[in-house]
Amino acid sequence: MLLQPSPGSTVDGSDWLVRVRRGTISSIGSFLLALLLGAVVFLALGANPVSSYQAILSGALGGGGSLGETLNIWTPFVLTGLAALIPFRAGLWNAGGDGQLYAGAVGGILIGLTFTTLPGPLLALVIVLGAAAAGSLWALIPAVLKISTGASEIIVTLLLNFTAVLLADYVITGPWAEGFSATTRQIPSSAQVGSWVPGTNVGVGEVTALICALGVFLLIQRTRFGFALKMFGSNRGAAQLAGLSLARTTLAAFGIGGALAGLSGGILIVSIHHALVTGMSNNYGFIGIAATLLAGLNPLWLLPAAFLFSVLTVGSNNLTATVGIDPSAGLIVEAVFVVLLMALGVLRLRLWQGGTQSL
Amino acid sequence: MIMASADPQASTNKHNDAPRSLPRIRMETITKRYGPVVALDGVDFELSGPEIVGLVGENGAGKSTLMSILYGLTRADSGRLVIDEQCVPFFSPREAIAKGIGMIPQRANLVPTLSIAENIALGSSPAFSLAFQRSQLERSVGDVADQYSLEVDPSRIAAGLPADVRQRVAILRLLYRNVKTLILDEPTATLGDRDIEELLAILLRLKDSGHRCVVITHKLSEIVHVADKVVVLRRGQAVKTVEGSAIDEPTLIEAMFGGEPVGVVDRGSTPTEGPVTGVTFPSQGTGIARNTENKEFFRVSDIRIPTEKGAAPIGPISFDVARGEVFAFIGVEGNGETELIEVLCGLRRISFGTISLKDIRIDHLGPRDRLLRHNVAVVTGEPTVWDLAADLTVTENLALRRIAGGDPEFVRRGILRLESISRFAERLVVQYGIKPKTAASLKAGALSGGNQQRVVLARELSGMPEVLIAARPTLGLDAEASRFVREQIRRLATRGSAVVYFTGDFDEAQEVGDTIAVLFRGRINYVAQLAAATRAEVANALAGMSTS
Repeated sequence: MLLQPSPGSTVDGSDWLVRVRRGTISSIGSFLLALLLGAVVFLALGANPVSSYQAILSGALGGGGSLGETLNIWTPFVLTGLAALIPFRAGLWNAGGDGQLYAGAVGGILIGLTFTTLPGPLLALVIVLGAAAAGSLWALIPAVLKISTGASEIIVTLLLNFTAVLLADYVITGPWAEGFSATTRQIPSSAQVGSWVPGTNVGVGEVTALICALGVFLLIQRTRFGFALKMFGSNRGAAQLAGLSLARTTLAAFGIGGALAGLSGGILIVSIHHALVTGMSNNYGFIGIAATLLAGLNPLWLLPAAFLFSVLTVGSNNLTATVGIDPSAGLIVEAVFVVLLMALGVLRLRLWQGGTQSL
Repeated sequence: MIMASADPQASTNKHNDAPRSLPRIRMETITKRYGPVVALDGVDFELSGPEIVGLVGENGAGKSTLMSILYGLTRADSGRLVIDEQCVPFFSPREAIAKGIGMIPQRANLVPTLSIAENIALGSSPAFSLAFQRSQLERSVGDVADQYSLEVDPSRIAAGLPADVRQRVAILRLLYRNVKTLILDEPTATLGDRDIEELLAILLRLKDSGHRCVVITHKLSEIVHVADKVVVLRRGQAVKTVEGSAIDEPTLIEAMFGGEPVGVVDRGSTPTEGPVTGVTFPSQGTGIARNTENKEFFRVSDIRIPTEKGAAPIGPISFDVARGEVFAFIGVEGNGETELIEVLCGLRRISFGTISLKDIRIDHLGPRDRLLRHNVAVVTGEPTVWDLAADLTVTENLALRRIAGGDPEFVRRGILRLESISRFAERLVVQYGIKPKTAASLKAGALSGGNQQRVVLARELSGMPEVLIAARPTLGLDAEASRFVREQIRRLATRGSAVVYFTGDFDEAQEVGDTIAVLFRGRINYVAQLAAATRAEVANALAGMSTS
């Protein structure tokens, strides 16, 4: 399959990519539109839109540790966003950030509950690295299948999410269970990484997310691998004719992406939950994809984009207490936003295709 | 309004009417530009009675563009459309169908999960009537098919239909809508020999029943026997119209390939100046003359190329290219050129024979190894399809080969050396006159076609390839840009590379080549040294008349 850079499909494959990346500015437009439609949702539910948005903001950024909570959720958004972003740049889909996060968490907890005699800080480090390795391996499955059989990486990554969740459930309810609760035993307290800001859980995770985003930015801009990513994303046939290896690039893209998603699973364990718990990822992987698209596949723009989604997600919990509507109203705004973003992307595609009828 | 025929029976009845008279269609001084490239340059085109009209010309001559303007897929920049002596605005495809003009694209797409009948009625009947009147629909489609002796089974599901049936379905789809002027874009491209004959027979029957068929093609042998009129397009101009018994292949080939010389390249073996300088690779000595010692430098020996089912096999093909030699193939497309190019680039496998460079076999290698290990470079005439990443910068595109190859001046331990890369790019932009001067930081897709090709040449030639495969590298370029390309490739040869050059143009082959060969039906049927090659002989060879 490496010998068929069909020119037609190459062009098709990269067009949406170009448009997504050019889309950053109009993303802002669709964001405003989404806020407007969200206001309509709030009105329909009988709430004042302005105070609803205020509730979301204060719920996400106000006192009482809510900003800390927002930042805690921001970390996995950024890391799973990066996990999607790297393959995206090569025109490949990683829809399995959630699964890779769980795979990482499973790997991390197994290490954490096995090597309990290691000194705490070292154990924490090993848990996080092991989680990254597990996430990486999990993501390599679709990559290998893609290379060897041509299996669609979208489908495989997507389905492996379910497998990973079931795997985590097995670990939680199986030999490592803590009584009858939906959680495993805790890792040794010496390996639990405390917060760096008193009264919150903020610390190692946020810093890691920042460093990773910066790292991925440099990886794409400054390395041969990043160059290959962009080249394959733009013109697969030309990249192959020039001697770049699609197989290697695919493996590396998924391997690194999966490691970042797995890393976020490890961080959740050492710094937040200290154990593997059910429902640990609340669709973080998918919100990460949305944030990555919103960021126009730019790792630095991903930071504010992911923050926006964190604010909406956390702040929505404040809706019931303040304006008396269900928190899912906030999720509706989030969903409207994602749908609008996608729809505008398709619309641009249509306009573009209509505008350039070629020979 | 034909779209409104909700009752399939009604549309069948229309076909039983006497054929309505065909409108006279005249396209006048049609001009169409794509950026700096003139696709159509004041073309006149006329259709009168029931007839079969061939629209022939090389790739990029403007055939498809002209017809998609008539059908309303493409908008002309200027020109007029005259129907029955009345000037009318250009159509949309919907209006064109209503006027009885329909076009079948190169690849007729069917909805695989629907039956043939449903595919044919799609868009002309409301969806619910498709679902509830299936048998009636199948009958009416069957009636139309019988009327024109088109062999299809209306109830069959469209998935997996062979190319010839798909084509008949596409024709039926137009006939079902009472289309009288059928435009077929390269209808034989995917057909085997027998299916082609069948198609030509269908066209003749359609003509007898009062239809008109315009066949866009570059395969002359098929059209000459059935056409009443053939219009030859060359570089966006209608250069010749031949009618009736005057239609024969040599005449058409002369028109397709002939014409005024395209500008003369300096053949002097003085490579002292000009951009082709090994920027990082050591120069391989200057002015290596062709000589017998290195005659077998690049050798293609007795290769056979498997083709898709039904198409004629390609090969055996053998030729040698020496250092310093440009071996120029002239060919009418569809004679195996595309396949041969793919084989030379490593994109397609051969089933027999060998390809070797300096006595080392390379035929089993993919493009990556051919390039990195043996320095076999490729330049095509469609840079944005094959050579360039349109949304990356010119700098990135220029450095592509060096970065891919891991040149230590450009990459060290996986880290890009951005300064050397941009110095390198800036230098090539100047040396190859890539415009605008700030091109290095622009996206490659933002450049004009000629400048894109300069970027490709700069990249490939600065690597001092051992062998260069130039696949119609001047396609779509204006005269000056195309002259630059040929000049650069000549210079490269002078410096000791072997070049295999593919073109559809005799003058171009004559200008760039040392040896001229003609590919006809998958074999080389003419080879001559430049001095010995004459236009007449080449034209004969192109038409399949072997002279030797």
